[in-house]
Amino acid sequence: MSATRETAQTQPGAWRLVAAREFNERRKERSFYVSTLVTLGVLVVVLLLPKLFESGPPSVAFTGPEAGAVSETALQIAEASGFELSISVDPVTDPKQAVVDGNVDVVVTPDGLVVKESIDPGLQAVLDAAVRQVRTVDALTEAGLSQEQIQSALASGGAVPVLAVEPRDAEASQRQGFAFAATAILYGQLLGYGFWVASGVVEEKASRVVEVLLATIRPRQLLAGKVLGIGALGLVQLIAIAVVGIGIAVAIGSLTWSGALGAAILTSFAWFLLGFAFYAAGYAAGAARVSRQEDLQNVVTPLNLMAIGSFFGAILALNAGDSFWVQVVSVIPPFSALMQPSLIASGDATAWSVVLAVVLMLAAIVGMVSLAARVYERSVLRIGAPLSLKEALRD
Amino acid sequence: MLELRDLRKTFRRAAASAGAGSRKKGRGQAAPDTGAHEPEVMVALDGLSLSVAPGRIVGFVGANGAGKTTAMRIALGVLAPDSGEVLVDGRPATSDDRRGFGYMPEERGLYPKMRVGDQIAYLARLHGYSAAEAEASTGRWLERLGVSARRDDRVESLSLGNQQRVQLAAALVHHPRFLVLDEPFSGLDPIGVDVMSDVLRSAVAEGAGVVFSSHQLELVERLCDEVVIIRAGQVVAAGAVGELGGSRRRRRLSMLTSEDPRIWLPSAYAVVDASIDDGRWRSVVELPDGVDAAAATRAAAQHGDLLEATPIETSLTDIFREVVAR
Repeated sequence: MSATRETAQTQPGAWRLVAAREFNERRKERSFYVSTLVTLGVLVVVLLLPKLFESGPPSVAFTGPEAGAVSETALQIAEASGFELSISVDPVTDPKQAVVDGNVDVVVTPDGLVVKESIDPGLQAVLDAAVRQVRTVDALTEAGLSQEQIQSALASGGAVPVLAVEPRDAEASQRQGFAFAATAILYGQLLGYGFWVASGVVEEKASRVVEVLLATIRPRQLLAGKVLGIGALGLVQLIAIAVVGIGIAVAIGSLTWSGALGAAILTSFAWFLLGFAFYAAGYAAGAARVSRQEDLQNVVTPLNLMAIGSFFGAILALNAGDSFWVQVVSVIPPFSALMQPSLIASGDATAWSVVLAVVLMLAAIVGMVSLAARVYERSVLRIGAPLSLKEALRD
Repeated sequence: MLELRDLRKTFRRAAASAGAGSRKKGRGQAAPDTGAHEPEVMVALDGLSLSVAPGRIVGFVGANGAGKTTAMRIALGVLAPDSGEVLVDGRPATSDDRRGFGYMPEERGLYPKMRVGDQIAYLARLHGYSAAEAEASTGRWLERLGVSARRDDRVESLSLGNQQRVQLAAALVHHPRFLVLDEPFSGLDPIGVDVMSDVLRSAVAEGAGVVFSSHQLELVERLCDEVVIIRAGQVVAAGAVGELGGSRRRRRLSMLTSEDPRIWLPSAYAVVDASIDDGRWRSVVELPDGVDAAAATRAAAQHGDLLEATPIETSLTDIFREVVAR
């Protein structure tokens, strides 16, 4: 008995014991491994599939008397314009058969380009320019110009410079891909771990263990420990997924590591924590109002809808990040939790909107947590039919 | 000393069945229809007081819905009373005091999927034990209750009897000063009842105070030093088991006489049963208020030929029926 009193002073905060239990018990659950493996599996497939089906640069064969000159010119033009193509050196006797067999993608003949179905417009432009240039050189040679004159005439024509008024940076497409993956994973983490909090609360009510717990700790400590323990596990899983996913993506060349990418990843982690704090508190409050897992779905539906709405908002933000309404909605909690990482990753976020979104989200978390604590305290011991929010908040 | 002093608690009707924490409907008594209460308010406790001294076992008895569970939850701090207080050694109970309580709720309460040993150790830690103390105490209790072989099994895989033992270990693992047990014997087989009884006796021998509720009144009579009977949130009878209800306990006399007592016994004595057996009258007599068995025996001897008189011990069940039905 005296031991109880002495150690009561030295024990860590009770919420830490609760958090440690949540973290350890759920870490050992099969569903945790399964969800980690499934997420990683999907990620690996999504990253590797395009690589498997990637066919490399288009192969082009050249026939006719000018074959050598045209192919050489085509290579120069392709190189100058950053277009990749490979030149097939196998002799082509029947151009149509060659493209039907798939030996080559395009055969350049004196009469034109032979393809199976259609040709990439970029490739067509390169080959078209090459054929025209060879013909031009021939004509100019015939007209009696020297090689030097011809070279200088061609060079002065040069490549026409492009002035991009709103340049898309080179990483844009990889940013989009990353932003989409990050949004989808964050959505899964928020819903999955939020629901874990909800079902954990109901489990304690349904098994009545909550009575034993509340004889030793306050409801707020129990709530805080549960949310923090499960949230910590969610963050650990998120980091593991990020490390493996990004590692694979960088290794196979789908993603190029950069400071911007690192910042986008850290931002996603931060928004997971903010979003989780909001949703977990909400899920806990909803779950505290019911006593059976069967009743859970009804009370968490509003939150699920919010999360789904945020997800679609984030997808919209990927495609129209600079639209007025996306910018407005993206700072409103809880939509910001999924839309902000998406905007930041795709490069459409502005400094003021990030700051505003964080401030509003923190305010929403404070509100939601205090609401959740009230509802939780008042309803966690009430076993029976689901309580309305009004009943749960009443003294 | 653990004292509940003048506890009052009301629930709204919607909350009452839920607030009393039971699937049973109609928990808590409807308030007397004085017009002062809204009809939806249920009075669960109406000035209830009781005390548990170290080294004593108190039986807490009352019909379903009388307020036992509510009172115990308030003692544990799980519920707050509307008024009244919970005192430990004369001071309002602190959360430190309450960490030194052991509790076994009526509906039981363990994580179904958690392993037995982890679960008990976790509860010990919530009660303030260090990790090492918690492990050691968990091992001792599981051993003592005969479930140490199941230490690494999930609770849901245990038989109900073994789950009860684990539940008991959960209440005892932190060596509590006071044990508050809501229906600890319900659902136990005779061996389980013996184990529970032994454990309670030895906890008391080590200085703990125990209060438990039960509907098994012969068990309460056998095990408890004191009994508290409540009805509609109020104590209607309380005291040492042997003295409960004072005179009520020996209010009947069994007599053996040579003549029919209905003829000669003063009319203040009601003869409830009389039969002739081998030439002698065997009868049971109800004593008037204020007359004890000794006085009644003297009175009977004055009026007739009294061969034998034996006070009839009233069982707790009889007392319970009487005070609760009033």
